[in-house]
Amino acid sequence: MNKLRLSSKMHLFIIISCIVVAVGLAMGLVFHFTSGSFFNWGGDYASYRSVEVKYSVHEISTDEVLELSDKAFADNGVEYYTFVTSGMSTESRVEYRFTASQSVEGLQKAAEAINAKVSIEADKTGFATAYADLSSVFNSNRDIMYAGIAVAAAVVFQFIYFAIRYKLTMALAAFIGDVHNLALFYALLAITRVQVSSSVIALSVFAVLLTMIGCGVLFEKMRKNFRTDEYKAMPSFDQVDSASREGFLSVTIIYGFIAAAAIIMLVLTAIAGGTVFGLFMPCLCAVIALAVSEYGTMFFVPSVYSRLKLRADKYAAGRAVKYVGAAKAAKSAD
Amino acid sequence: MGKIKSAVITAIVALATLALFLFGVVSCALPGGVNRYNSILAGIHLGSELSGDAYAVLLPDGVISAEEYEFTVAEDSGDKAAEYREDYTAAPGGAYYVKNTVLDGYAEDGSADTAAERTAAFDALEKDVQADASILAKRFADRNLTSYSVGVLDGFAIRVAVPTNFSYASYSGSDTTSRSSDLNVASAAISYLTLGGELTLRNNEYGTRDEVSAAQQAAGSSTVTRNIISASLNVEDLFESASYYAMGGSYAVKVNLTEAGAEELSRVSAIIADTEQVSDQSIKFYVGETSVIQLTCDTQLTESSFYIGVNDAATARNYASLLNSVATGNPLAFEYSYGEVIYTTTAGGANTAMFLAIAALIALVVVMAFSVACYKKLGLMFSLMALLFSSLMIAIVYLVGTTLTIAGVFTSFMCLALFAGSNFFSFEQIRKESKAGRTIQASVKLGYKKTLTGILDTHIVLLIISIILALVCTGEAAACGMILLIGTLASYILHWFTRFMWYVTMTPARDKYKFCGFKREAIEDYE
Repeated sequence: MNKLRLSSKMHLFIIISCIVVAVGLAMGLVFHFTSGSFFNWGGDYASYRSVEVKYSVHEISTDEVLELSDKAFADNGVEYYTFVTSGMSTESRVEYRFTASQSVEGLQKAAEAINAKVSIEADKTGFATAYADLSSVFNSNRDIMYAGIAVAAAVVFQFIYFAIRYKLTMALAAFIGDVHNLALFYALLAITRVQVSSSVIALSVFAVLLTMIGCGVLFEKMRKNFRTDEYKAMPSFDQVDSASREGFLSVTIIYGFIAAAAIIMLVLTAIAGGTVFGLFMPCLCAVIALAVSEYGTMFFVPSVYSRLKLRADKYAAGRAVKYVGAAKAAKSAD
Repeated sequence: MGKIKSAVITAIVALATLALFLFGVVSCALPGGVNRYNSILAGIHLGSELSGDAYAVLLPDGVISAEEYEFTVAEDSGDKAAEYREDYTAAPGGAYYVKNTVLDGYAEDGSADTAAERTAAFDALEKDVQADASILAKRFADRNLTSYSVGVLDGFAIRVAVPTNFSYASYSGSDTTSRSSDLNVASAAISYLTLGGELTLRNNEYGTRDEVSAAQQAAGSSTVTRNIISASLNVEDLFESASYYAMGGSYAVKVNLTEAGAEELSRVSAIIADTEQVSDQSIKFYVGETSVIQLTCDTQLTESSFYIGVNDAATARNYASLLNSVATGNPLAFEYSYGEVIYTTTAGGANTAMFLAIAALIALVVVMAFSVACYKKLGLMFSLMALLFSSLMIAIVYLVGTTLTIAGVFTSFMCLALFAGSNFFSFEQIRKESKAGRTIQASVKLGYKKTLTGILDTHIVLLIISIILALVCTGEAAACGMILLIGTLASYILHWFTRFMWYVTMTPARDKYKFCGFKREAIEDYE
């Protein structure tokens, strides 16, 4: 790490990012044309199919209902991705949710099989209904649109703030970093097929925030270091590389702590199994966001900034020559 | 500061922090076994992925479920079964049955008696239900819930779900009072937002139209009301919007009128406010045949907007969302009925909230252990501040009433990371200054001074972004914005409180060149 020259690796980073984004785009399009959705939308945003089983707990226990339902689904070749239970005064219910790609016939047959078994077990008090389709497309637009507007506003604000507080080139690099990280994050969502729920939409905002924090820490470090005589003597690329190396630990500790929390949760999810499976996808998404932020902020942004800084330095030198005169500029440079 | 004073302040801060943290996170049974103390954390409202949903299946007038049909036909061998067989036709998919009169309403000749006509009628009915679902989705979105779901079941019924927003104490059954209050809020949201029918403004005595009272008389209603708006006007031409309004603990629905609306309401309110003409001085807002809200008219309305006071925030939001929809020309095509509101466990697993809390506790212990390992006594001081930070976050999120979701918990982790990062950044700078040969007092002063701008910058950026998120976003992202706002403020304030605790704890240090594991390299030169 001490000898890593980020500035000379910009092309490599661009190639890596382009490949990931291209693969994400390709996979998303393949899934779009084969199963109708670019991302793996969760039940909050996509249509799903369901089977609802109603029963009286006085007649049949919930465990028995779960067991015979599982058998009925397995026998008819359908697989649910989640279920919810509810217990009311008059009856209890279990609702199984299936992706829209599951066979309607399979669901109907499974519902009939459950119905027959629940009715026998529970003295004709049970009832299973298979809903062929629950179209939930009504929910999607608003949350995503406003989250998008908020992210765009935040990125623009950060650009303006960095341009005033630091330098225009830094603001530009941070802006490119935000866009790059978002593109990478969404590409990885398409590749990993993480289920996109309302939590994941909120976590995409989280990914941008992480980039902003990282860029803030990095540019603060650069600004301070660039003022020292040791840095002034270095070429542009070396300045950026050295400052990035110094800022690496601070940013990694912040990201690392959140990553540790997400990994702890993933481990707990694996240990606890069925009763906490809802944590798995958001945790996985958070880990992706952290990995993207670390790569984007600590590797991609410095390499892009080094080019911008080189151009800015050359431009500044040119202006110095123009206004001070070549000979005088050379003298002052000496 | 003397040793005793320093020890007393440190002890007070430590004890207060520990007490706050324990009250914040530990729930326990009280002696006697009847009552129970529920911690502040257990009292925070949770999003749907942590506490489940409340849902209802809405059936349009004339549509029944296959379950109802089959039970009636199977159980009842008399007239009712025959009536059901004769009056209802199975909808495509078989999950619902539709009354023939409903289908007849879609046929051009008034009778859907051929297979083609029935298919066309089912298609048209499905489209109407879809359109109503879109309107309902907009109403629920306006209601400002952390999540909601509106879906069409097999084309002929609508399933609406809202988060129960239970606290963990309610969810686990430890706090039955809050549970029933949360259930009421969820039920009320479903009940009001799914009201069908158009908006009418009514009064018990004064009115220009008779159809309303005729309908009520025909239905045998004990109260007969009259429509107060001139027959030549459409009600949707009178209103611009209705919105939720809150100020200083009071809640209201703000109704904005168009020019025509202001003129008409001014005319009508002048009559209603005159006690000599009318004794009922209220304008009642009806949606369909349900009285939703009423405005008491003591004086004539002269402004283009007015406020109608409501008891609580949830009710005000329900009314505002419903009125905004119906007043702007978006009533539902059908009246819907539902059996009961059903409360489910969370779709992510019943114990998600508990495991999230355990993970958060482990993460807190990890950061505290890391700080002690790296900064020794100073790490202990930071650990105390991390406990205080966590307790403050819990207390403020609880007091503000923000709903905690999975993304919100990650945002809290980010805030804790920000707090830890800011402090470690300063500590590292102090270590650097100390190694350069400065006394510990000078190192602390210079370390904090040098890191001031960087830490301030990060906090300013996050503070403004959190405000943008909280104001612009809806649902879960807005809740995250609120948590980020609380966390950023707490992080910056406690960063300086840590500086204060530095001052307090370093006072009794005998060796001013050696403190908390930081050792000056050139120390011999000074001795």
